[in-house]
Amino acid sequence: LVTTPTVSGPPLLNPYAVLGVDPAATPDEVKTAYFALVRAHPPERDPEAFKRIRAAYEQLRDPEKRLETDMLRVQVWPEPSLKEIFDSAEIDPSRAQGASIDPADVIRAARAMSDLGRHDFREDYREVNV
Amino acid sequence: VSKRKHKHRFSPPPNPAVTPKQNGLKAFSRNDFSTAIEQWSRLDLETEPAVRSAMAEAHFRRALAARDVEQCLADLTRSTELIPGEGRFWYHLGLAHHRADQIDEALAAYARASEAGFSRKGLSLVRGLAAIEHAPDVDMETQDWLSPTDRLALFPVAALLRGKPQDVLDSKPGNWFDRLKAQVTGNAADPFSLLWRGLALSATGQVAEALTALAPPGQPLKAGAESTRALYHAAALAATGDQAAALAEWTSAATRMPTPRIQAVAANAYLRLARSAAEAGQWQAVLASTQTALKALPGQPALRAVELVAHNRLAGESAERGDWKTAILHWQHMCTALDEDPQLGPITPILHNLAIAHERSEQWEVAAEDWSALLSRLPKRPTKKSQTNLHLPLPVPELRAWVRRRVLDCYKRAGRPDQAITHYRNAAKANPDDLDLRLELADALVANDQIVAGRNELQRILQKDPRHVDAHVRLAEVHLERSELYAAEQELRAALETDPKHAPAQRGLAEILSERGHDQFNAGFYSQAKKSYQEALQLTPDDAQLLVWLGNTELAMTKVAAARERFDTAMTKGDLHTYVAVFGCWAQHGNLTEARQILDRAEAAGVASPHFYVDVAGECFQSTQRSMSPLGFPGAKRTGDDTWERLGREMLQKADVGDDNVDTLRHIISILGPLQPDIALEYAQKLIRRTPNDPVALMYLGVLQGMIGQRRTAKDNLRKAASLARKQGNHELLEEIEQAREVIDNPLLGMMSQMGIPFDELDDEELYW
Repeated sequence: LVTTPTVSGPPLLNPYAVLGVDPAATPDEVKTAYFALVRAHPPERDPEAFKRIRAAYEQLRDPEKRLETDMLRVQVWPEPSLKEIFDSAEIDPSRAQGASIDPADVIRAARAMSDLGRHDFREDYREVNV
Repeated sequence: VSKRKHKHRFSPPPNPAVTPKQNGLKAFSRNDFSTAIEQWSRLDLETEPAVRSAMAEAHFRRALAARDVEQCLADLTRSTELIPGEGRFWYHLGLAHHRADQIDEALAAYARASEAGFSRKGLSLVRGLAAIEHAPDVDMETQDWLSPTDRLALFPVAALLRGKPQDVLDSKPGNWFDRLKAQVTGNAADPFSLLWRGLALSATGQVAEALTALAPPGQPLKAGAESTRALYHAAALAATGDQAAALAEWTSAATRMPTPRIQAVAANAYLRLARSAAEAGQWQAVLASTQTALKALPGQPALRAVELVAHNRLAGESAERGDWKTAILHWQHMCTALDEDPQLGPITPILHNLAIAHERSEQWEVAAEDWSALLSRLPKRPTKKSQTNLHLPLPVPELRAWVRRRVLDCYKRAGRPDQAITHYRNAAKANPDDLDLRLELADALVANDQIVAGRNELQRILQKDPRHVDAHVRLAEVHLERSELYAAEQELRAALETDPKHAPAQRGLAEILSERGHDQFNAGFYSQAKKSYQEALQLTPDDAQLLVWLGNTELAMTKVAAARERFDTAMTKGDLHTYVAVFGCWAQHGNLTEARQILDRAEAAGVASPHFYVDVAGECFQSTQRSMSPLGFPGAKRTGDDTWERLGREMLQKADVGDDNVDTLRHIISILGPLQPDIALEYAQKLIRRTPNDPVALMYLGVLQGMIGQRRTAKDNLRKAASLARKQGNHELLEEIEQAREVIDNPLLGMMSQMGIPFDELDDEELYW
């Protein structure tokens, strides 16, 4: 229901996960979920679970506390689609690896054996006299 | 030294005493071709052939030094226009077009160079190359301008471009390879020959042979050819299964010759590595491979994106197990990257997470800086939720206010409450006309309990802009905090004068007017009260509660029909609580018929839940009390019999309270406890039967018993409740039980019970749940 033990600080309790409700749940839905869980984990039989359930409900039952809880939830960063990135790297695996020959690679190499690969043409300069 | 430097950096202005011809020549001699061109342009080039020639040379040299392709092409074109018969100008124009992949134009320019008699050996090769780039199937035998050597040299290129690598490998006597070997170098290991052969072997799947042919040559190839060789040599290594060696060669080639092609190939290889790790959920491995890749390929956005995803996942995992230190490191990396390149994604969620992580690590000052950074990136005006990129339950203005309070709170916890103020003061000093910033300062001052300074700052804003709506509203809030209702009202009216639809100002003024209405009502000034409520209603026409107050005032003025109409409107706009309130009004006025009608309507509208009946029962019992009504209005006439008490009991029966309905039992106890502790006690006993070991239920029972004088039993139950709370480690509850025990011991309990005091804490049925 809750997170694993801490390493360098207390974990953030996710009360929504503990109560099994959506973050957009109404107060009534939160309450219903809470009582259902309390029935399943009464304090006399399951004090630890009850403690967690109550702590989660404590965070959500009061509008001010719930707002605080909501405001301090770790935000989801909208990740780029890894599938798209990885798929685009493998659109044509053989070509990506160079097993078939890309004409642009041939042209690039061929140009390198000609004057197209040169940069110094000072020999082509002429003196001027006005 | 400085003079010499100056000379080099800044060309001297042309001397007006000297002719443009000489000025141009001087500029030309110091390689300032632009000035030379400008000076010579003043002359009549038709009558000055030497200058015309010099000008063409200046354009030519400027072109060869140019980095910009368009500039280069424009200058070379101008050179050819000035001296059309100069072959070298056409040759270089051809090269420039060729490099820009403008093959048709390159071919035309090469042809003109040839026509002009340009005899550079390289012309045949580049023209032939352009021809096969234009059409790989061109019959090179028919191109009489192509030298036999170049024809041979281009044969494998054309074959590879035609997709016929086998032609390259054809080893029958007289083939291009042997002929070239004999004619050109006499050396079988000619690097270009080997390259074409290696590419052909690769393309025909002869990997082992390709590996040999594409091995690094003794004589290095030029960069463009070397990157192709390395790319396909590594590809051959990968095809033999040696992925590590392939990756190393691609990486090395991408570092030495950072062409887009080799960089993309290397990046893709790393992405494939990252993919396997990501699919196995090994985010640390994903991060390691992308970071290694990014050292060699810093500009690859796909790698950067994957690195960020790895950081994000690792940060999330760390945060979930409470390892905030590690989470902070990952989120900090993300912040730096997202700050540098906003295209990679929004930074606000990460700033928010960093602030939380620093708070959890009790690094309050850093947390304050994180919140402050987040605040600076939030929109200043109400906007779409998506624009903040945060999934938070507050709209922008309230979100900004919340974050601002957090900044101050963190600075306070860091023992630096002044820091936030200083932060805003400095910013406001630097931008005195930024009134939004000054508003932030005012908010910070108010939030730091520096009310007077905050008020002064708001007044300064209003001096600069008397129509600043937010400043008026904030000033109104300051006045309200100090119960200066009249001053608050003036500010809100000023705000609404500028922006009549400003919702917070409308709500604020409506609240002030409602408060005034209550005071007037309680003093018996019903007409004035009605006026106040009516004005408030104009501001918040959908406020069902206001309609109930107005109706109740009209009821007090014996305008029953008008009141009924108000209540009808209220019930169409409100919820179950509105029905309860309207019922309460009729009950307070002893009108059983109307009250019952409200019950019927609530039942017909489907809002009559067990809680509703309990609340209505509370209203019934309330109407029998001498105290004020739940709305805060003075009690009205009484029926003098037990009609309402009977109706209350009927309502409790309708709530259909079985022993199992713990929730409703608690609700009854909280509603009836202060009014009818004897009745509430019955339900507390039911609750105990349902949850015998619940310390809260025992506490309820004990307090109710205390209220009706059963002190001994009450104390026993409270002792049991305390014992259970202690066992559960619920110290908060334990403290409440102790307080209840003290109240039970108080000889004034009877009086307090009449006033409902002990149950103030119990009014919230869920206080301990």
